[in-house]
Amino acid sequence: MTLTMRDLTVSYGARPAVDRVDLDVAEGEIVALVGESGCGKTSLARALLGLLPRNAVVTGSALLAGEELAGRRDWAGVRGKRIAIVPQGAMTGLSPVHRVGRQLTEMLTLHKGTATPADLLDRVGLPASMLKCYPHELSGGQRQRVAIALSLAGEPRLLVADEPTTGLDAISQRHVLSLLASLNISLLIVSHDLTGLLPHAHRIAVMYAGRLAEVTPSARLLHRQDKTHPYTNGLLTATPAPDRDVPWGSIPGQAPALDHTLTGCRFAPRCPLTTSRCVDEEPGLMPYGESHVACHRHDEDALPTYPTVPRADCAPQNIAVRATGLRHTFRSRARTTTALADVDLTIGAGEIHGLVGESGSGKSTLARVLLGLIRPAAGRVEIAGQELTAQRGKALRLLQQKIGFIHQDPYDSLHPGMRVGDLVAEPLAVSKTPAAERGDRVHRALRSAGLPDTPDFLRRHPGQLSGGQRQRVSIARALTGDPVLLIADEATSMLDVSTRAGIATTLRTLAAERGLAVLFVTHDLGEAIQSCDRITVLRHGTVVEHGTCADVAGSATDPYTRQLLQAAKG
Amino acid sequence: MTALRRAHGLLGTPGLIGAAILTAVVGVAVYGFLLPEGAGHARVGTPYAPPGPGLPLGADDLGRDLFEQLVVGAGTSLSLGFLVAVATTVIAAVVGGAAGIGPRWMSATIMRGIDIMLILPELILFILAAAFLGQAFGIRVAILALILWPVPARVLRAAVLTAWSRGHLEVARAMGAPRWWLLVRHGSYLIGPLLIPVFVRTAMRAILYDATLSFLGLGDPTTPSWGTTLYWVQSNGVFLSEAWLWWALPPGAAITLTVLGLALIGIAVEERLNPALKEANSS
Repeated sequence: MTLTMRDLTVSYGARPAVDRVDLDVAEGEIVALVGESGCGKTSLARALLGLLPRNAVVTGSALLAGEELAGRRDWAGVRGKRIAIVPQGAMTGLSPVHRVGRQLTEMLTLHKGTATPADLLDRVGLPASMLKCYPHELSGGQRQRVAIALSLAGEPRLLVADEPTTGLDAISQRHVLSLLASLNISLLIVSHDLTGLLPHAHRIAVMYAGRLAEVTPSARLLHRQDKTHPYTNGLLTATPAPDRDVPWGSIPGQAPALDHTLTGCRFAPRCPLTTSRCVDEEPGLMPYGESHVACHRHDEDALPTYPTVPRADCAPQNIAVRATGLRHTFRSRARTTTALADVDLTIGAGEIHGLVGESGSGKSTLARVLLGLIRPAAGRVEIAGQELTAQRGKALRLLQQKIGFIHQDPYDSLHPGMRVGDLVAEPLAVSKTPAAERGDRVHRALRSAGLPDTPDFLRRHPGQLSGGQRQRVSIARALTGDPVLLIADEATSMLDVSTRAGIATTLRTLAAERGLAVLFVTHDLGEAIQSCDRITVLRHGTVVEHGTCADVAGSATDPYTRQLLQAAKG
Repeated sequence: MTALRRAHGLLGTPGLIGAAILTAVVGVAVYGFLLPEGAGHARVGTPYAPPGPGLPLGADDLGRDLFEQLVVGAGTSLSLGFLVAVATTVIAAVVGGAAGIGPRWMSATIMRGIDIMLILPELILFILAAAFLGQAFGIRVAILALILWPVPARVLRAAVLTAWSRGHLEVARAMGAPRWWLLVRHGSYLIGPLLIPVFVRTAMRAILYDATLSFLGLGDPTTPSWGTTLYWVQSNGVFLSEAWLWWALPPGAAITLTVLGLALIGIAVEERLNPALKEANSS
């Protein structure tokens, strides 16, 4: 056994973030630790390397080949040499002023490694010529490989990778994961992406609210033939598959905050199978065949059912948005970047149109052109019959009031000093709607966005809301102006996987009931296939694929789209 | 007690010490305004009189009360610092804001202008301008305000640009809100608090520069001020006798204390508001 954790507990103040975890990593084994944000998985990873903030207390034991890691003070010769970490966002943590070779040499000197920098690059599949590169000359995936190479310098027995795929596009994500799997050392991968890890990991440990819910061989989940913990089941169904026949569901509610006292099964408040026993008595991790599951009802036949995104048949309707021949370039001193090159797009009323592409594909530029925030170099945009791109000043602002915008970042898109009521009423204040009408429209918008419209809720500040609730407030705000077009710019990308399908369901309901045209911008092709009617795939500012969801999912013609599909399948 | 604790949370210990010093100086200045006309000008004792009854700090070479000069000087220094700070903050806010949200050509012109202002030596500029334009109180205030605005203007332009990149501001822009709405509803809470350190630091520098001017004999010799007292110290060779203890030390200490108090408040406020400093301290 390389690593043996027993009763490992990490507490901040009185409440444990990681609660009595028992987990092993065998020699050469890849264990994936998955769960939503705030479930304690990063705390656990950092406890293994003594990287927690000072107020954290670690108890229990974590033995790495006979050496105790829990509560250790002297890390010389251990950290980096026996256990190493690829920290979260490691690729942005490379020194921008040193060449890659120099950074590798520094690590090798520090840990007295015997390899040469070129060997390390070779292990992560990069050519030795990159030793002379600066990090900014490399792509995101290449930088992540360099970060992995750095962590290998001390030839550790165990590598901990904390969210190694965050910030990478779908295709590089797969490449980085298969690289990690091919390294041939013991690995503990911490991630929120359960489906992505299934093909690469040997065992999966699912964590919820600081406790392990299930530890199981990944083959059992990959084929989905066996019964799993309801939370694992929820995570699997919440990951959108690029196949319209596989339903996309969401887990209602949200993960409990650290300051909640929890009795019974921690997942009970969100679980579809909850009984009174689940509420009163905490289940222990019990062996069932090859896996260990913490659930009272695991030996019963009942299967959990989660709410899923409804399917709609797209009937062609009136065109609400028509963009033709859009071109735009960004100029800086050194270079010009073509963000859009001759892009056409039409969205019908009541249609959800998916705009898919990696970062830098021009999808955000296109969204901002439709919002009237960027004036394109060429091309026309017609919204409800009115030309947008030629408008300026007051005429442009009047037209903008017909477009709703849901920003990507729910933590930055709501003014922290405004109350929910004022936030949702802002479009009405901007359009000078008489105050008498406002209250009624705010209440209607909140209900349509799936939020309560109680006086108490209207008085809350964004700081008192969860990420999903914030994004729903954003939706409600976009709705109050009675828009004809709703632009959701990566509206689900910063939300927990369990709440994404819920947002998509709300958008579907709005499109169907109000006849809204929705532009759903996303980097996740699976998500677009699950929730949209038609899809446009952008790459380097040009449309490479265009069609109905079923066509794109079933018979994509463009090689890039096929790569994306492959990546989404895992 | 709770008010004190809240103030402590807002300013921290150094900031509170600064506030206490400044309050004391303001108290002295208010007392100075209440003194009868002619306080500090009139000859009330024998020249070079040492401290004694009725003359707590003795008298200068013309027999004028040095303590009264100190008290009246507090009012001159503080009101000058306050007026310059108000004027500078207004200029910096207008110019910096215009550079932040205006069209590109306007921003470029303003920023290059600021760059030119920044390479000019402020103190020498101030001394030359005062020597040519006159030493009246109002003229000194105007010159200082015109010299001190570029640095704060740069700070405020950066704050405007940061505010403009925030998500909620972009959403408001997309819902067709006019610029004044963006600035008042979404920008002000980000930019407004930055005006406090700008104000405090400008007041500090204005007091220091004005004292320097008076010390060089270019100030208004008819109004008592800390710098003027120090000028007479210099020209009478006071440092050669023991009189420096009651003649030179009090105005020097008063300038140091006031500037220290303002600096402590400025740093405390800035540390709590500037996101970069906040991050650096917490990690």
